[in-house]
Parts: sequence; C-alpha cells; structure tokens
Amino acid sequence: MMTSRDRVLRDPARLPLVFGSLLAAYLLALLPWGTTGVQLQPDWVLLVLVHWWLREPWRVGQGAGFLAGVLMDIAQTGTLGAHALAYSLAGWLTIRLRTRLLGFAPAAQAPQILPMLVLSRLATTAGAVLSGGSMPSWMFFAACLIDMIVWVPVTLMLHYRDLERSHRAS
Amino acid sequence: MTTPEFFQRGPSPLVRLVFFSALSVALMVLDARYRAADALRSALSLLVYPAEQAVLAPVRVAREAGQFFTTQRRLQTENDDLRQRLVVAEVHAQRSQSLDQELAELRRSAQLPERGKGGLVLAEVLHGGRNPYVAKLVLDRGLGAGLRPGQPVIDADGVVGQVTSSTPLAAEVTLVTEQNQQVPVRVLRNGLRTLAGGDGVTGTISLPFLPGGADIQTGDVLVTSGIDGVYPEGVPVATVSRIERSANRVFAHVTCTPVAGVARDRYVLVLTAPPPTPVANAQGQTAAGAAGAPAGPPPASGAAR
Repeated sequence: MMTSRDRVLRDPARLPLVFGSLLAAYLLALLPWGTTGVQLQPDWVLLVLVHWWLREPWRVGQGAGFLAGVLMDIAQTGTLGAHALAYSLAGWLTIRLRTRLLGFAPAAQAPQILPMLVLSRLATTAGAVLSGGSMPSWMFFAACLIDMIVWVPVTLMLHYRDLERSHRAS
Repeated sequence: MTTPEFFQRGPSPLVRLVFFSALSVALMVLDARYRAADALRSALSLLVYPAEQAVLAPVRVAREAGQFFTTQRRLQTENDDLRQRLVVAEVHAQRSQSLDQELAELRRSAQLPERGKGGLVLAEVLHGGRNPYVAKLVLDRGLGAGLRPGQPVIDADGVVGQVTSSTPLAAEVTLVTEQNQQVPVRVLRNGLRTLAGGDGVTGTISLPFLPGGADIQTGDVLVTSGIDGVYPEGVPVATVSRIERSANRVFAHVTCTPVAGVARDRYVLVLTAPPPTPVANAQGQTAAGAAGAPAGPPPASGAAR
C-alpha cells in the first residue's frame, strides 16, 4: 500500500482525472435524492476534494474548495457562500494535517477526516440558519458517518485510477 | 512543473483560509441580506443547467418507463375517475362563470374595483430540491415563463407555497409548511381571521396567534383571507387536526394539516398575475374616489400593483 502510494505521490496528478472526479462528484450531488436522501447523502464533492487536498495541495487548494463550494451552493439553491466557507475551512484543516494523514491507510484515515466533515456540515448549517433556514434533522449530521464509510472506496478508487495512469506513463 | 513543489509556496494556508472565509462571508451577507448576488446566481445556474439536465434525463426516462408498465385496469379506473371529476368540475365552472358575471356587475354598481383575472402558468415539479435546510420544490419554468419571486403556487386542492427565487429556466417554491412561511387565513365556518405559519420539519401548519378561547374546532377548514396581497382570497390552506388548550397559556396550540399535496404534487399552478387589491385598500380607494376625484385612477392603485 505505502509503496504504491509513494509512487503515485512522486508524479503530478493528471488534470483530467482531477476535473473528471470533481465533475462526477458534482453530478452525484445534482441527482434528485428525495427528502430523506438529501439529509443522508454523503458530501461527494467534499470527499473528492479531501482526496486531492491530501494528494496535491499545490494544485487543488483552498481556492478550488471555495469555487466548488460556490457551485454546490448553486446546486442546493442555498445561500451563496455557505458551502464555500465550509470547504475553505475543511481545506485548511486537511492541508494542515496532510503530512500526518498521509502516513495512514484509507481505513485509518477515515476517522481522522471526521473533524473536517463535521466542521463542513456545521459551517453550512450555520450559514443556512443565519439566513433563514430551519435546523436540519439529526440525520443530516449522522450522515458524517456515512461520509466516513464512503471515504474508503472513494479514495481507493481515485488512488488506483491515478496509479494505473502513472504506470502507463512510465 | 519543473520547479520542485516546495519552492512554489505562495501565501500560507492560514492566510488563504482567512481570505477565502472573508470572501465567503461577504458573499453570504450580500446574498442573504441584500439580495445583491442574484445576477451571479442566475449566471452560474445557467452554467450548471446542462449538467442538471444531463443528470435528470435518466431519472425522467426511468419515471416514464415505470409509467409505461402500468396496467390497463389501472389506466381504466383512473380514466373513469377523471371523467367523473371532469363532469363535476364543468358544472362548477359553468356556475362560477355566471356567478363571476353577476359579481362583476354588482361590483361595478357598487363602484368597487374589478377583480383581476389571474394569469396561470402550469409547471411540472422537477424534483424536491436538494437543500437539507429548507423544503422546496423546483419547477421546470422560470423567469422565461413569467415566474417571479413572491407569486403564490397552488394545486388542485389548495395552497402549495410561494415562489421564492427564479432563474431563467427554473423556479423554486418554498412550501407553505416551512418555517418563516406565513399565510393570512380565515376559518371558513365563522370567518375568524388569523395567521398560519409552517412548522418546518414536521410538515404541519400551526396557528400561533389564536387566543385560548377562540371559536375553533377540529376539522375546520382554513382558507386564505387575501389581506396580504400575495395569495388570492378563498383558496384552501389546511384543516385543523388538533387543538390543545391549557389554562396556563394565553394562546391555544392549534395544529393543522395542509390540504394540498404539498410534497407529492407532480404539476402545480403558479398565479402570475398580481392578486386583487386588498379589501381595506380598495374601500379606501373608493372612499377617496367618492370624496372628490371621480376622474382618473386613484393614486393608491399604482402603488398597490
């Protein structure tokens, strides 16, 4: 695991993969999830962003998080800036803890990225409630645990796509 | 790319955090408090529109494929049901046409302003919104079809909600059951006027300002009173489902169920024409008109429109 990770980290990430994965996550968020689904759905865009923040913070940084956040606000038709703030905060925390997090396998990273996930949901909730929304149900915060579980397949999938391409290139 | 990454530092993460947070907070304040970001929202939503359609297309296909396999018998019963309802509705429509004429004549003879006939836009509900904080419906019509924020939305049974934002190709309806959504209502049985407000998550409506001794019963139908100038008069809103009175509270705790299929509708009607002027206002106008300005429109009518 560590060796393949090191090999991937040596090469810069392919931009098509970065954009493609963010777009795919965004499209997943655009699906009509229904009233319960919207509370329980994982924050796909944030998970993909966390992966790229860990992998390559100099290309996908807090600015990318901010932009993705604005687009998420458009998708959710919420207050502009709520997700932007949330993703900027999560990006900062992830990039700060990056070197420490990189030493762990995805399953061990999952509980350690929980603070970012919770922080992001708290920030969007604060933004929404301050501008007239009502508090979401407890399920919305419980969905952090679903985020945590989904993190493992998301990061592994992106990692192996990355690995595949760097093999082909070398 | 040739320079090693650790030389391309730029501002530190904390500086970036402060910068982007400040930007986000500014955006939030501009959007929520001053409605100044609407142009940006419109432009960005047009950008997102193709992606949205691409995602919704398979969902629509699945929905239609599901309909394709409905049984003949179900279609038959539905058809019979619709036919019966059509006959009843047509009889009602005929009666209401003659009543409308009569009312218009009476209003003319009493020198009351005529009631405006509302423009109606039929819109399909695309999806139930993606916002976990506010229950909304997203419609397939927007600014292009004349949908503007503030217009009331109804279905065959009653009030659904109000358009709260519209982009060129879509509009958002905030449901009548949401917090902060208030509708002035009248009890159909005795004409008692009060204000109904949504409860949020529970999907019910309550009457927060009704004194403990008010004449209200379970099963009472609440209709819009029309004094807000937003909703037309007499559209059903909810039926009273539970009343709790207690000696140590000034107000009764009245819970109501919305009559419209608030979150289940597939098609809704948006009333695009401004509703008739509120009664008190209209009387003021006629009084002013009778007092000494018979020629020319009353000054208040321009402000009311």
